[in-house]
Amino acid sequence: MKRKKSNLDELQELKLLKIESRGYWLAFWGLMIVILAEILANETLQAIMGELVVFFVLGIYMVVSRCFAGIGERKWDMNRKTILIISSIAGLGVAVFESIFFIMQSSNQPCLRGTVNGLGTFVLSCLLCVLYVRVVKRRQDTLNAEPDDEKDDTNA
Amino acid sequence: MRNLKMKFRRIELNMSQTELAKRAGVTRQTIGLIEAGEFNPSINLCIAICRALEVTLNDLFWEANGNETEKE
Repeated sequence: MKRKKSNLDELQELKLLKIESRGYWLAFWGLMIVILAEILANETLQAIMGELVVFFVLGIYMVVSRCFAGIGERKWDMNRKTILIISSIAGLGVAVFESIFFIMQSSNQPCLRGTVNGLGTFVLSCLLCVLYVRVVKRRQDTLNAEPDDEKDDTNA
Repeated sequence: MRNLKMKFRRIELNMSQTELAKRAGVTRQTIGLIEAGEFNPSINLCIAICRALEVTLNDLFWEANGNETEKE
């Protein structure tokens, strides 16, 4: 099928990509805030299922696409220190949020339960980040493997 | 359109795509896609490639007519 010619010039294309990128992140963070607010408002799992599914699809799409393209972080060097910082922020965020949630639920030992969940998130984040870095590195090695110049540029 | 001039110049200098990519400050994949005509580089990247290959922009990227670069 013949691709329709774009009405935009190069600069407009770049601007549109930027607008679409901002739209993606707006949807991502907006959904996250809505989900957290709904959890605090004591909504049932069924009530927030739609938002959860879209949120996870957005996240998984981003991670899988980046792994496939072999594109790592734009600015950060994903070393052990960075992974620990990212995981700590995630763990701390979950610990604080869960503590607030359990306090609002009048549960027993809300801070302890929040901390345990935060620690779990920290460990899980560390593992996922390490896995992500390894997959991206492996993909980059595959993509950057030198092709044979004698052959056609199919391995471009 | 494939950029055969760039590919031939690189081979003339006995340079791999990886070496050229390193000199131009991009990934090997980018060089491969430019040579295959699947990616249009920015003028800054064209200049970096020309510097790495010791040629001018005209030598690699100018087409006097459509026959100079191989059409897909």
